[in-house]
Amino acid sequence: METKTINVQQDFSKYPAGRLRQDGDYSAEEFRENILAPSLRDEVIDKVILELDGVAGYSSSFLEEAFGGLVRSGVSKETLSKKLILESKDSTIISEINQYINEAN
Amino acid sequence: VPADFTVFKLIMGNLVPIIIAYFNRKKGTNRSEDLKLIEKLEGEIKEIARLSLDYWSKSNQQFDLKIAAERKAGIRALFNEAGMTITTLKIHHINCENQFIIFRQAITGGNFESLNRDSDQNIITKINNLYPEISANARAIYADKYR
Repeated sequence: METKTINVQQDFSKYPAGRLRQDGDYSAEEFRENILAPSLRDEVIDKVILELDGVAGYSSSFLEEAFGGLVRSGVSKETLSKKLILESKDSTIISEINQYINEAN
Repeated sequence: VPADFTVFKLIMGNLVPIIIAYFNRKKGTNRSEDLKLIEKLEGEIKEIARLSLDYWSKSNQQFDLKIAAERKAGIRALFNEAGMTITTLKIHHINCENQFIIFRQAITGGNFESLNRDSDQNIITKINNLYPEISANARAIYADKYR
């Protein structure tokens, strides 16, 4: 088993923006499908550390689509709870992401 | 009276006022730092409100695309800064995080970044209601903390 660290700024973009791909580059949909979900679905990886700092800000629509969208796309809340470790100096980002994960159906 | 007791009284008589003065000064410094943080937060959320009111009063069709992109980037960056201020205040036991998240959701949720976004009077009303509430709540917790 291994731990994977994803740094949003380095591994995706300093300017994440938009809910869907049609909204432009570096959307939440692109982030979820290309970066987050593959690591969370990989059975060899048991922990995914997500480093959220260093970007030029997140919108709520991006956070909701990226993390609520994970649950809607079939990644279970139990998997997220066991596997995903969120890291940020901004506690409001982590609280908001957890809210989207908990409320998604 | 034993000599030891006299020495003890002398030490305590001099030490206690120093300790009290130290804690009073520390409390005063914390109070001043907390107030500065609240004022910083008020400046940040006021600026977020100003940009957001302009952004949501027009549809994307009424904006030059470059200006709309600048508005969105500006709002995201300001929320980034204000989020750090909210986090520091939370560490100082002045917790306005939930209201702040509701404020961010109202402004940057939904179709904030979608190309066919319309102007939205409901969001404008929410912005006008929410941003003074965050400030008032922070000041109320501050007043309670140093009562």
